[in-house]
Amino acid sequence: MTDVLTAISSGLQNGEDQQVADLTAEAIAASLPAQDILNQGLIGGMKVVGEKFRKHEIFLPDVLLAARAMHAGLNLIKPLLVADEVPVIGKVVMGTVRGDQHDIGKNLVAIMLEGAGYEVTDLGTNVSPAAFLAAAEQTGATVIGMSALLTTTMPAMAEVVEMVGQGNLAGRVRTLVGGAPVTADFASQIGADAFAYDGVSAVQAVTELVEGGAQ
Amino acid sequence: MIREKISLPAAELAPSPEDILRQQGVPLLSEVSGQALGCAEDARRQCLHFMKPQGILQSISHEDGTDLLTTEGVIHAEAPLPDIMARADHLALFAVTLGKEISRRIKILFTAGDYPLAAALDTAASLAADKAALAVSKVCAARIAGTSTENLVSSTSASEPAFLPYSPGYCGWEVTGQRALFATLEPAEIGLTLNESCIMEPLKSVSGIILGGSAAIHIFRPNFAFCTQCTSRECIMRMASVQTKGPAHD
Repeated sequence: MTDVLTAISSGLQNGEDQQVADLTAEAIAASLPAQDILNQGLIGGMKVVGEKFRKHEIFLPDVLLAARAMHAGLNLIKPLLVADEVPVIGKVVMGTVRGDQHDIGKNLVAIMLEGAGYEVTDLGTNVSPAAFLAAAEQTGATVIGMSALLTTTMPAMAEVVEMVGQGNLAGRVRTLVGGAPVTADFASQIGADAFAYDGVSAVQAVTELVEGGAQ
Repeated sequence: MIREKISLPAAELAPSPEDILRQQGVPLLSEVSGQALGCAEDARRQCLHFMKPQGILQSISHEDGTDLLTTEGVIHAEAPLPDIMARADHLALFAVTLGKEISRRIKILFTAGDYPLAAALDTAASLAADKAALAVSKVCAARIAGTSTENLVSSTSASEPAFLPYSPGYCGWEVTGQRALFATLEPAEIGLTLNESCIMEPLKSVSGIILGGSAAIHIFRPNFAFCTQCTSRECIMRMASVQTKGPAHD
């Protein structure tokens, strides 16, 4: 790995967004492939951050600082990745389910997934089951991620899971659920493919779903 | 009957940077980066600037209190609330809100890509809303005792009767309990509404019932079936705050 990519990774781990932006611009100016900047510099740095978080060596505020730095670099190379037709590692549709307006947790998960290299279509809050499916169809996403913060809105997750299982997305699209009142037991009860309790575990769950491929 | 609109002091509700970090999962005495600490400090400042806290308090009878819990499925069979309510000497419904501006600010920060500050401000606002609920409990206690409400928020001394707020969504009281509570309290007076899913708007708000009585009525063993789904376990701190030496009852 070149010095600049190592420096990008290191700056990102320290949450230095301006430094990461400057170094990314330097790497672009030096004609380094955008894919290398992404994989070795940015995603490489986020992987270290995720690992440290899992080991409780760092905590949420530092993960978010790193995510902000990640996006500072990502924004610069996005046009190049599109121009180079670099394939994304996976596409995810995310949203807070119908009736629910809470979005902080969902936003954090979306940020972490983008930081791991996924293309995320964030549908926002109060998303109807039909809108989840339509977005997955339109974007070609293979994972639908749903968030709920209230027991009253959790049944909407079951509706989405059921509709995915019964429609033409069955076997191609997998479902992930999370949110304060959501448990692994609930996910299993409604037939969701995965459950995540925070942004880092969501990245891990989506990676397993994507690598697992279609059912 | 008391029905009172209450202005709450923002300066006393805004949490410290240390409390914000702790609530974000940073263990006590852990080292955090200067950036993370700076972010928490900024979150406190913005919380102070953007929140417009106010509350409403309305005393109710035991009969009215019991009526709140009669809708099927609103209260878990083994929930401690009915027993605490029956033993309480004073009951009052309450709602507090920080207003719309702070939620709008959080959204703006997220959209701008300032995730660390957005998340810290969201945490700060949640802590401030909880603190506002406790402040209204203290106002309720002061009204009943006929004492001053000055410096109530920062006061930590426990005394009897002990007043604590209980909210739908916790300790076996389902969030659907908000419907009956809102129908009785009608907190639109402070700009607070409830949607079909029982979400309060503005989002950074707390509502519930304040129960006052001997400290012992608030003490229970948190080992109910629904406790396994609870991640906050805040009941333990709440019980500690009334500092009773009375025995826990099942």
